[in-house]
Amino acid sequence: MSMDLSISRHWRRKYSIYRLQAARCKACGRVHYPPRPACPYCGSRDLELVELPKHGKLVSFTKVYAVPEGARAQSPVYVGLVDLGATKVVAELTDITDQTQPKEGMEVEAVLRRTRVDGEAGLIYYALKFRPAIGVPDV
Amino acid sequence: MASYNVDRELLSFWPALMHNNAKENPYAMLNFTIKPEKVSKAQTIADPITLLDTYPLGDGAAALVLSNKDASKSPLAKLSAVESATDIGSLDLADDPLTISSVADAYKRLQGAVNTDDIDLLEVHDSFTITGLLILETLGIAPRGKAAQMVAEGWFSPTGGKGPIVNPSGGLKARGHPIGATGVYQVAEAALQVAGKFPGVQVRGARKGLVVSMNGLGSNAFVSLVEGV
Repeated sequence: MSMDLSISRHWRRKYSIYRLQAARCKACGRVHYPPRPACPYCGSRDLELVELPKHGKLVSFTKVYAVPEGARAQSPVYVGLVDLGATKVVAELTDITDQTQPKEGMEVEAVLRRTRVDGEAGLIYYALKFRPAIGVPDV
Repeated sequence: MASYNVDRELLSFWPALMHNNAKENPYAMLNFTIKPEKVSKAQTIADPITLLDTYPLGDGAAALVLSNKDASKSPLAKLSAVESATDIGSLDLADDPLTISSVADAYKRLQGAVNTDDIDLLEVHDSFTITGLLILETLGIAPRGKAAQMVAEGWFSPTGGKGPIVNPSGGLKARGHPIGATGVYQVAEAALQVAGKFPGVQVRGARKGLVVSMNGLGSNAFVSLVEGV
């Protein structure tokens, strides 16, 4: 079984994955996620780390049936484009039921959830997903 | 789709047109026709994209022999200009996900270098139905939100008689997408078109072909103009 996301890489990215840590450009003021060495909008390297809100609005979404190995048990997977104000993020949607079908403009909030498994002996990955808001983001 | 009131069935005319063109192309991977109504009924990949909106991944090889003007006694075509541009290539960081900025920038540069009026045909990177439609809208060949409707009305088809012919090869959708070779295929096909030697749907009297190649969500794009000699 091969591991397609290394433990050390996952560890380095823990603040962006679990706290939605983004970067704000001091030159142009724009925010991007996840943080990069340079601002994708103006190229400046003068950046500061900021934490994004855990609550936002659903801009658009899709229901993915072509799900990669390791997450097939969860197929189909809802994926949404979420507007968090400072920037937008693409994230998995969760807790979708018949009563809470995703809609454009719907309020959503972040929640820590299991996402995929790297084979039988591999890691179990967790990530922030977004669920239809019930007013208590748990991260 | 919601912004421009485009419904699923309207999108289905693109793959149907690509298959129609590919049917005549001996180099096409999927050279058979499909009816538009089959598209929405195919297996869903990521709603509303179905299997028939996606490209077939295949092996393939294409080659171009480039030379300066004097070295070749019987050139097939003239590669007038190639321009490129890069962009963020991300859905979440893009201000406007319905415009492919790298394609827009590269095309602007091409227009600065050569005359792009009276294009007879295009070979564009329709990795998915929506990508092909957004490229046409980004180039200004179709107004924003209107490309799907125009395809459904017979625009860009060899028999429709309206607008330049788009992907006479069948495009990535039906000619196939051998990844690294795809861009070379597109330029080779445009060259054969302007030389009047394309073995499939030949655009009659074609003089100018525009080729749009890009990757992923458009983190980089190349546009080329191929002209008859």
